[in-house]
Amino acid sequence: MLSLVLRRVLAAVPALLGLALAAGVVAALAGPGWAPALGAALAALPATLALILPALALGTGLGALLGVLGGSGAILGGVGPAMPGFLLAAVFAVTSATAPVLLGVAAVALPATAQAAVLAGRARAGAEDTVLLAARGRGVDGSALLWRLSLPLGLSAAVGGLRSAVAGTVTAAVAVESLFGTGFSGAGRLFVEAARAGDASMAVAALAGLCGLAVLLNALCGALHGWIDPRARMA
Amino acid sequence: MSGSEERTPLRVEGLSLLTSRDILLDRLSFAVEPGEVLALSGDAGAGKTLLLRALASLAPKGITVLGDIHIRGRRILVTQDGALDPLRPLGAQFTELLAHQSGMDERTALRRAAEALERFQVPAAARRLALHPHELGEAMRWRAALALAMAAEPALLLADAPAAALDPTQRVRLLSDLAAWTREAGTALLLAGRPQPDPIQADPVHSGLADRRLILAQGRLEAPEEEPTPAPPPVEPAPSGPPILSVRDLRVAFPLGRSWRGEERWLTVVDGLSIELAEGETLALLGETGSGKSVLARAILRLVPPVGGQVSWLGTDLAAAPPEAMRRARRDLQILFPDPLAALDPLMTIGAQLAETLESLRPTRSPADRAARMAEALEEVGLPTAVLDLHPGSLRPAEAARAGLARALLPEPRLLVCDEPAATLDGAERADFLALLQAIRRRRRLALLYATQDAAEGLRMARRGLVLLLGRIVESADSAVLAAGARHPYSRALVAAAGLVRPALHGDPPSPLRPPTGCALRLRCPLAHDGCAQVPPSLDPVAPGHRVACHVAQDEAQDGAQSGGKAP
Amino acid sequence: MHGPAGTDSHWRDGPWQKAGQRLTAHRPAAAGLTVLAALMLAVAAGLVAGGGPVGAALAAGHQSLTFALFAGLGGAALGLLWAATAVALGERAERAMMTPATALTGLPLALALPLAGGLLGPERGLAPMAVVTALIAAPAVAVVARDELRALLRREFLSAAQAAGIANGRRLRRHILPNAVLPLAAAAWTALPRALMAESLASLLGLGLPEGVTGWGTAIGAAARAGDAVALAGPALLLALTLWALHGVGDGMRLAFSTTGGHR
Repeated sequence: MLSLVLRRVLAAVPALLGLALAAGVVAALAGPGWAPALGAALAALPATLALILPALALGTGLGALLGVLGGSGAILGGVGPAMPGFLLAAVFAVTSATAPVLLGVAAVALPATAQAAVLAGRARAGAEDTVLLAARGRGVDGSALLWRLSLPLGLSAAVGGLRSAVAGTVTAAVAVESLFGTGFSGAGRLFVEAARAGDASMAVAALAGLCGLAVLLNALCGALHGWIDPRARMA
Repeated sequence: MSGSEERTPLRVEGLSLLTSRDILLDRLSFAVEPGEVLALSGDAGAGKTLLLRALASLAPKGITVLGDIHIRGRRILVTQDGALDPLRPLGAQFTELLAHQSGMDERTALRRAAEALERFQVPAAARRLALHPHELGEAMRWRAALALAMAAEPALLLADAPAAALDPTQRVRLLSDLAAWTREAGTALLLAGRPQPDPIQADPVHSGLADRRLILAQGRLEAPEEEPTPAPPPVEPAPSGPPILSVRDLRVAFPLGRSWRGEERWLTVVDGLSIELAEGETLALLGETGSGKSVLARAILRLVPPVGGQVSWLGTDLAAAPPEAMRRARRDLQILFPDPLAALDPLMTIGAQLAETLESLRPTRSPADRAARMAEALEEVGLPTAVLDLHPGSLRPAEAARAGLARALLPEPRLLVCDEPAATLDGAERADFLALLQAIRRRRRLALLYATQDAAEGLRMARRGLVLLLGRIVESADSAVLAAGARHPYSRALVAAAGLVRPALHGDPPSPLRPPTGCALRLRCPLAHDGCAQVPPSLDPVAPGHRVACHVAQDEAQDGAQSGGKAP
Repeated sequence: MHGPAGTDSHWRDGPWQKAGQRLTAHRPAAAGLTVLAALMLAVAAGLVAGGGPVGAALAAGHQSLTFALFAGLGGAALGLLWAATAVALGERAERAMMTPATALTGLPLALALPLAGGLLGPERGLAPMAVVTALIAAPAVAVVARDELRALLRREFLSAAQAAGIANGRRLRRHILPNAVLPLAAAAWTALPRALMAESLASLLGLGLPEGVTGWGTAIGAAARAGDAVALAGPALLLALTLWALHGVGDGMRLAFSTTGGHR
């Protein structure tokens, strides 16, 4: 497992270096002071990560379970496209008098949950006449079938689809950080404020940092997928 | 109720399956005794899978099951795809199932698993238990699925067209191993055939693969009728004359990119093949997956570019032919594809596609003449002219196959190349189509190149047969000679598998990416000796008109010649 | 022998009609098409009638939808061009062109629009913003379109056309292009929701549509900052409905038209 994580992360290094280089060049062209800007962006990343990571983990796990169970998962998956993270962030920002942190996480997590539910539900439906039927034919049934086979298959599909969810989650996090006044001050907020102020070096540095975060998260998700599903270990 | 009935693992009385609108299966009654193998055949959609699912209490939603199913002991259903849990290694799947069913501890279960795999001749079985299903080849996966089912010691095993996608030599061996084990263990085995051309459909009882056979048709069970043995095809005189098609040292290979050392890597599919075909001659290309027969068929028509060698038609080298000469050659050389429906453009009507073919290959014809030709061709293949206005999407497979044949006949070809042309048809439709093809070939005196993995069918269709293995010819002889006395162990296995006799080849075919040194068959061959690993055997005559590429067969032929021509 | 298959009344239905039937048989796609048509009418009515919060929300939809349509079409064209060029130039060029496209789909590209908005300043024009949006939508279209084209070129009827001696140009015109239309349309459609989302996000942050042009995102952002739940409800609902409809139709198109099996 560790070697798989290392391999995935190492594979992302060229992309990260490329991003850093591009950010450096653009920021340097835009004006002086790009080095401190890059430093500030990097320093703000952990706060963003602290918003994204629990949301992704929670969303994927819950979504996979709901998707495999069908019912509410199918409904959630069906309305998923109607609620991108930034829209939820705006709605929650208006209505939130209490617990803004929880609502912020929810705005990021809900779209990921919906996507995971769709993928897990599809995986389960696809396995119904193959893997699941074969297991039933061997006499496996009930909760053993759900916990030992359906859920792992759904989880594998949900984790395999995290690639696009990561990009959406980072975008949603930017909206949350910018709209929720208190409690969130990460790279997303830095990015929006710099862009509004027309501060090119800071905005580019923050965006590069967010992209780097996405690349890194993608690598980790790839490793996680490989850990759950041996078929994904090959590539 | 007598004592013997008490032990009957499966007894079905008046079983009907209904949907809200239809009766799918109508009052079936049968029983399977311990150690008995019952083969169940029937056309596509006859309800074999449905019956097996109902017997396993896994009928799909919306289907009502009426009647009595008495099952004594444990029953296991092996589904059509034999799917295993893709996320866990084989060993874990064995231990979980055995612990769940008989409370077996892990070490005993793993030992049982290794033994079960060994029953299917899996070498180094204990080591395979650490592998995941996707790391196994198709044949190995099927051995594992059946071993998993049998390790649980069921009283009744329901197997739905097991290993249907495997090559015949592997499949027949697997099925006979399974039947031997169930008979020994006293397990009742209900074996369904698949709709495709399938030996189980034909007659598994004669060969000992099954003890009894039932046919499912129109929702009822029927006992098989005595099928008249097909009359041997009339012996046709060997066509004489100069070859019209000559293939010399043809090589087809696909680049696989570079290795890390920068060497170009190639996948060789056809490896220095030579064929000659006279006017009106019929030749079967026999071989299994990866033998290169399909690619060879396409390379002859230049649908796949060869990397070496020569294909000449009537003395013209097709590689160097100018467009006009190539067009003339295409008029003479036509092909039938394995999936005739996929070979038709879904957006054009059949009429438009036939017209396009004629326009391209016979541009001098007048439109009125073209229409007449198209009507004639459709009549010849037994399709109504209304088909001209249809799109391929509304054709059934049998009609698509005939439409494909009509298109191939339109330019009045002299050679028809067939690549498994009836692969999508089954049962009577398949037989009808092949009979039609044979009749048209005789009437038009077409030369025929017929690629198939079913040795019996290929040898029936053609006067001569070529057996291909990893892109090379291993045996070439008249069909009658091949059917009765093939010399190469691979040819013998193909003929045996077509007759449902357990082939003598063991193991799995070698990877074409890394073929073995020397003879390509030596790792599966029961006769292989050390010499086979040294030099690849060359294709040498052992009798007039009979050539074999096998060290053992050539030695035997020489010994036979020295001891006065009395070959064993 | 057997007559033509299916002698019922539909037997003459051509492949295009059948593709349409497959699309509308997918329930979210049928609902999505209806919703989109209703929205178009409502937005047009809102423009004419105007007035009130509903009228304002509908009028904002006019700006958002027009922008998303043009930017999305641009992105789709760019993506299709990208894929077609990659496939036409041969294997090595294809790999070199498609690897960055695949890498880009994993990045939060939508953030490039607020960045551009910020850098271009308050006097930004619509055209450069539309170009950036098109660039954001293109890579995902290119990846799907390339897969579709590859799958199409492997299909057997192209071999059959070659065996019938049909020249390459004619094969491209008569067989490849017509069969590419529907799968590529399904690939191109994905650019529309992507463009609408990118624009709404940027406008919501105040960095999207130029000042004076009010889209749904602009209205939502203003309402969110003012804490005005009533003003937020209209545009938020309309945006959610539009996105849902666009996704539904896109899903249906992928299932009904795709040659790669519809699941990616």
